[in-house]
Amino acid sequence: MKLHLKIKRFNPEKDKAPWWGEYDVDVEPTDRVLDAIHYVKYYQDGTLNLRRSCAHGVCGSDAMRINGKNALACKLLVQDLGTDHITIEPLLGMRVIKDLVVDMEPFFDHYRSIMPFLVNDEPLPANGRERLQTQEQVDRISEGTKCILCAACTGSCPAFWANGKYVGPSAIVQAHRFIFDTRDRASAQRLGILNERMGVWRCRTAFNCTNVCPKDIPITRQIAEVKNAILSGVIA
Amino acid sequence: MSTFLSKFQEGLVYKGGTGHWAFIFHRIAGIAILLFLTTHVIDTAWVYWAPESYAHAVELYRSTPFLLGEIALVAAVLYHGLNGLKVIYLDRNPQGWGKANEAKLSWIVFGASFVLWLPAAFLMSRHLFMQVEHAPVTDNSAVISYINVGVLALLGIGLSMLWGASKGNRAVNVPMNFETRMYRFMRYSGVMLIPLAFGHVLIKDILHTVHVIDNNYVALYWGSWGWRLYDLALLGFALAHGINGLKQVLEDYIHNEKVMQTVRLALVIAWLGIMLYGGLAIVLFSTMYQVY
Ligand code: HEM
Ligand code: HEM
Ligand code: FES
Repeated sequence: MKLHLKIKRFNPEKDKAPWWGEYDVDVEPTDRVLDAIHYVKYYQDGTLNLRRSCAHGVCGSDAMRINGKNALACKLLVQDLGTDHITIEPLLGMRVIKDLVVDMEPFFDHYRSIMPFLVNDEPLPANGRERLQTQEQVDRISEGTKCILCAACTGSCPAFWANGKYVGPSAIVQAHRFIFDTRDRASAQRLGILNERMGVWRCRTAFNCTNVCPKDIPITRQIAEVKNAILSGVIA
Repeated sequence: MSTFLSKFQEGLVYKGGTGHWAFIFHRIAGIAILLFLTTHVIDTAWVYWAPESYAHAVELYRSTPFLLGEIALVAAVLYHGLNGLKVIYLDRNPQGWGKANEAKLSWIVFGASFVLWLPAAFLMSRHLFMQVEHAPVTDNSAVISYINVGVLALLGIGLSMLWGASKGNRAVNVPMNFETRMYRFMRYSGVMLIPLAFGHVLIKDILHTVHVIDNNYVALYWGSWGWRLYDLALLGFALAHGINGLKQVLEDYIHNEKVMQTVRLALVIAWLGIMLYGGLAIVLFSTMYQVY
């Protein structure tokens, strides 16, 4: 299958402004968009820059805008795009380092700010082993544990594009995962952080995040649950 | 500024779903209504502060370009209000934020706003293409106004009792701050504005229309304390809601904390100023102005 690729290129050391690189490639319909990009990089233009590692939707490194919408290039099949013209751009809301590579540091700063680790200084259970949870208690947080920090959601959020100080959907999902974990003891602290001006209240429920999450995490729902936990003082 | 514009443009070409468009329209509509409200309060209060000027202003509101603006305004109020209800409802019932449900509700809001807007647009624009006989407005319907205010008060009390209720197993104590209070206020005031703003626009703009409004008309309404309370409540909720909404929007785009501090102060001053100016006009207005 013949594909026409338009990739937004930018090398701040050489280019004054971003430009479109256009490439024709021949791929199988069942190939992934990542394969098409690889084809360009390996056979047509080795200077094309992108991040990818696992190539199987696990590491979260290749989120980008594909035909206007964020996705993992390694998870999206060419045949599912419904067109043979593919436009590829870096994520919005983050500084472009080169071509499809954006600066993820601010994103990870937000991630760190919500204390993404279990806090519990209480003595171990009598048997000295695990802190047990019921199946329901596990289910409450299992969706959030699937997050691979690819930034597809945060890079799709108009509130985050407008103001990068907003903590962003991904960090709220990560906070939710611990806030609603019955073993954790720092929920109040995390909710306090998210209660600040650039916390959860900047969410305008535009829903782009939920629509693009490659792990199908119901992000907007989780954000609303965090809002309600702050308002009601109850973790439901 | 140019980076702001190019960022803005990129945001618009992002292929978002129904929620993205709902957000964009909700924001544009909210700002547009606030802009109108500000001018509207300034010129309406002339009924008290400068009666001659009010007569001129209403003359202007009857001209075709303004009429078209008023028809667009009704669309903005309808869409912003209904979409606001959607957001309020789903945020209170998070499990409703599913992909299919969000799309369905967003489409219902688009559709319902359009369906409600059509007859309104007809009633408002018919002056442009047909002869319309207006029954003179004589009854100041004082009884209706007191019933209105009673219903609104009950709605307010009901809201404040319903809202806090929430069940769950683990209690946490997160101290309320300005953000939490304003988030709450945007929802309370939003729900209150459905009867207040929808009712006001329905009576003034759609049923009576600017063609019958003049100093006498206003005197008739402000002759009753019920309608004065109604307009005061509308002024209070709409202005505070709109100005906090504008602050919310500006926090998105202004990143310099110093500048933002000045902007916040300016907004508070504008809010107090317009509240006083418009509110005093309603309170001080005496029925002697009925002699027009
Ligand atoms: C174009 C459509 C509108 C028309 C023709 C209209 C007409 C009027 C009139 C005639 C009054 C005088 C008081 C009365 O008769 O009760 C008034 C007052 C008022 N209206 Fe409207 N209105 C419109 C839209 C709106 C909207 C959308 C809002 C709110 C968002 C609003 C908010 C107010 C307020 C707050 C007052 C009191 C003003 C003051 O304090 O001086 N109006 N309007
Ligand atoms: C008719 C009933 C109304 C309802 C139910 C309503 C509801 C809401 C809600 C729920 C929000 C918050 C949205 C969010 O958090 O994403 C909001 C924002 C806003 N509202 Fe209203 N509103 C109403 C009337 C008005 C009026 C009359 C004005 C103007 C005076 C206004 C101006 C705004 C503005 C400027 C925002 C901020 C928009 C943004 O952040 O993007 N609203 N409204
Ligand atoms: S390359 Fe690892 S998620 Fe796509």
